[in-house]
Amino acid sequence: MNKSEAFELRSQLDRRNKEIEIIETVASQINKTLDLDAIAKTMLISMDNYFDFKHSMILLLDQSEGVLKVIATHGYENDGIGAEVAIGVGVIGVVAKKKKLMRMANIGSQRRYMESIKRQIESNDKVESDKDINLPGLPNTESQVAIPMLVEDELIGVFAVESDQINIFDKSDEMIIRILANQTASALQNAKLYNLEQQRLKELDKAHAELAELNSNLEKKVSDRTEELVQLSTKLAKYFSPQVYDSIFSGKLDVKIQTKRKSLTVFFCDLQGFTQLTERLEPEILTELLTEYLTEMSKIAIKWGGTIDKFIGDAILVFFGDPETKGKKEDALACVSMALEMLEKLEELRGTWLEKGFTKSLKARMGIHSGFCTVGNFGSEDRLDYTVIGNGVNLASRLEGSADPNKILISEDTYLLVKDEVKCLKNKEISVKGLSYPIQSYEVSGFSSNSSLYSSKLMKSIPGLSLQFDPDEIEDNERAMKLISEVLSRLV
Amino acid sequence: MIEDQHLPALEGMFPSWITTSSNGGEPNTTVISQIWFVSETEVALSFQFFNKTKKNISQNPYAFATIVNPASFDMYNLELEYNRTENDGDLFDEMDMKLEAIASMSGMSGIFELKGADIYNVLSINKIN
Repeated sequence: MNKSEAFELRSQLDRRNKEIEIIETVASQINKTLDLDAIAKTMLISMDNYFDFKHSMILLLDQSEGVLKVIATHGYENDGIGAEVAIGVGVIGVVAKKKKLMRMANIGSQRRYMESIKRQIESNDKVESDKDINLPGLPNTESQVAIPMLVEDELIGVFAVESDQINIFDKSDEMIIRILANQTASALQNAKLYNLEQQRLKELDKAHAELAELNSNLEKKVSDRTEELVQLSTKLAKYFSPQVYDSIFSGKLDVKIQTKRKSLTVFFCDLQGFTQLTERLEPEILTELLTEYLTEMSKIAIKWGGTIDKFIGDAILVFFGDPETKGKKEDALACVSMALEMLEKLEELRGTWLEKGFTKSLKARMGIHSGFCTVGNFGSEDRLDYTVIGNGVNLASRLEGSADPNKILISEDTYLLVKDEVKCLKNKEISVKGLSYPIQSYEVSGFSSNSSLYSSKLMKSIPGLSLQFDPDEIEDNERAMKLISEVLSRLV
Repeated sequence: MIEDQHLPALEGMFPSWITTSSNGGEPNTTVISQIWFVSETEVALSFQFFNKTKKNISQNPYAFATIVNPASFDMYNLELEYNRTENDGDLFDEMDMKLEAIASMSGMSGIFELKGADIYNVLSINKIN
């Protein structure tokens, strides 16, 4: 070996060592990050800085679309990120298809050769072949090294270096590019796996959040629906007597056609002269009057535990003893108490109506009977009515019809239940359709003074006189007596 | 036989000439894009179409080629003898890939197909002075 040969070998060895050093540096740089773009970009810039490869790009395989997509480029006017290369097209596409590297030295002249053949074929066969394909890269590329990036023999992308000069890359360049491409492949694969895992975590989080939202939406929907139901049932409540409403909504009373015989006290009431009044009054005023009357009467019925069966115009049907009963006697007494309070209330209402200008005074007639009736849901499957029927009801109605204005007429059956507490006067005998014998009736005049229900309070109102008397509230008896005496003296 | 100095002439940078002869002794010279280096004693020609060269070789296996080194413009004459045709393997793949790459760029995928790599023994190589 002569001197110059030794020198040549020495410099080759130096160059190899330098290359290995650079490759190690680049490899350690790209392994520092898990960011795909950063890895790709770092690699391409390093190739230019250390090895003078001016134009390079990295493409990754898009599994779902079956194409290669440019993820990083270096040394081009346009970065061309996202440009696509079909598998099997061009140097890069063929490298991807065959999973083998390719080094081209004179692409330009080969293309021109191919183009001339193409023109020949086209003019001979009169066939139109495909248009020229647009590929990312230099417009006048001559030399190119394209290397498949493989992980466990699976293609993940292509690494390409090119130049517009003819025959620029030799075997040793090819080797360096291959080593760097392999390094890039494993770094990219690591990053890809990491990113995939991160993405899965994110998706999992998202799914979690969606589920949570769905749950809270569901909760909201349920609470909205519940709210709607509450509102609806509140509205419905007004169409039912509170006892019936409670029974239905608590589930004690099934909403189906079902009736039973039960001992009840039935109350009927209507307003004498109301029908004539309807002909004279404006509907709005009539409505207001009727609403006020029925509202006040209902309050009293509810207060005494009565079940308001129905309103028929101005008439009211209330019964005691279903769905809840306190006992036959107690039910009857409650009913009579209710009737007495209603009369009192009516007296008060008449006062206010008079002030409003209803000169014709409205008087109520009331009838009460205690006895067996059939109670429950009547009607069709679609429209049920919780009501009471039977001779007892007819009798109460007849009693009401026979009562004098502002009087309460009760049957003997009721009388027997309440006579200890209620003062009654024997009244006429009443005959009822369907009953072969006449019914003895009694007129209620008030509570017995020994009754716990007896009240010394007095509240009366007649045209020209309103009286509210409560002895417990009077502090100065003398003054009260003086006031009444004055009223008496003026009346005479 | 083939040495480092000859290799640049086998890269396809400059076209090469190949001359064959029919059984009756009628010569035919044609220009081809590349003669491929296979080993020190072998080169390859791409077989894409059934042409005159192919026909002549089937009758008379001897051929004569001229290659050019694009860096030095040195020219070499080679005496060749047809040996075999390969339809697979690394050499075939390399030739096939390059053909496909260029063809697909021009929208001619599938029209150009490498039928085989025709391997020739190199009998002699001489620089033309």
